[in-house]
Amino acid sequence: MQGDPLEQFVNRNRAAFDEELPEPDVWSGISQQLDAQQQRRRSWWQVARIAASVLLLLACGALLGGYFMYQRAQQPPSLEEIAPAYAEMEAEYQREIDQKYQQLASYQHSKVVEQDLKRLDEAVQDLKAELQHAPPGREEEIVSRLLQSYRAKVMLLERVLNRIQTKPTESEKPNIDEARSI
Amino acid sequence: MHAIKSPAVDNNHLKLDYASTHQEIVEKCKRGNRRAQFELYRLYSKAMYNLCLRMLRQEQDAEDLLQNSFVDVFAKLHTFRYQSSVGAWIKRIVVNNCINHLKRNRLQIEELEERQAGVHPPEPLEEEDSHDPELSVEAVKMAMRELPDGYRIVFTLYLLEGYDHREIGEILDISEATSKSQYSRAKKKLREIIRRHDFISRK
Repeated sequence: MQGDPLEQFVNRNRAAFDEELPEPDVWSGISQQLDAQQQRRRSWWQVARIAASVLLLLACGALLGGYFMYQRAQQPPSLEEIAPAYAEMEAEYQREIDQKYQQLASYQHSKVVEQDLKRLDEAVQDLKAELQHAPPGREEEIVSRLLQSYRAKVMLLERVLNRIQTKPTESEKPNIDEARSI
Repeated sequence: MHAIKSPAVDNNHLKLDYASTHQEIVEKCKRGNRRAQFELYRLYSKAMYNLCLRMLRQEQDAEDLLQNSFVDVFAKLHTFRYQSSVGAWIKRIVVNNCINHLKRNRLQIEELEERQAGVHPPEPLEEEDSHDPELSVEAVKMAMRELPDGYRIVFTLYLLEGYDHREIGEILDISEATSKSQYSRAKKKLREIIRRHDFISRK
């Protein structure tokens, strides 16, 4: 500072201009306000956490829903979609088979018959799978083979039932022959 | 070589140290540590309170402003990145709050300048009694309290708080030239007040 005595004086005695002290309750006021802010922030956090949980749940729900939709889209089309004309016939055979099974259920089962039935079921499943990937021209042939299998199953069940009903005390042996003859 | 190089290195180190003064306390404050917050308050409250007093004159106003300013300081501290010292950063918040407080009470620097220039033509006292009065801290402080708001603020910011006219222009939203002229008028006015007090007390 050049010649200004006032500036020089102030600069020389600068510290003496900062002698006043604030009341101690200024800090308590600050502290209280900080507490209130923290409280607000904490309750805000709680709200935020609840909101986040809800969002997470919704996201999980949406994800699961999406997954199932995808799964369904990935599932092969049913017989109704591919060959609607034969679906009715299939249902008819199935009903008949179910009925026979129920009748059969009251008698003792032959392991061999069960195996044969199982093999027929597998053949049906294979044919169904084939049908889903079949080229347009071959569909009819596969469907007729499919219906043949159903027919065979019904026949097998009928014969088994006949045999059991006519000779209730007979062992399993004749059943095997019957099953094999189809 | 060593002798030439070392001062620059030392200087650099000092500069770094300046901006990062109380870094540990500041970082703790950022995490909401109440003891560190009190420590920061303890370090700067006195200087800031005296600044508020110079700006606002009333003790109650100064204390209210000090309290609110420190609440602001702790709320905004996460934005502080050590571009300046934390002291300078806090001071800027306090100064801005003081200006806003005064503006709410209709502070008009430009208007004031016009009015002061019009109402008070060169004071006759100066020629009559041109000797420099005995200066004391009390006399200067008392005279400062009598200065009109605009003069007092520019005088305080420049001479006591160490801002330059460009910075004062920014703070008060006036030109650098206005700040300069306000300051020289404030100084002149202050001398007159001190002389008048001195004259009265000698009588």
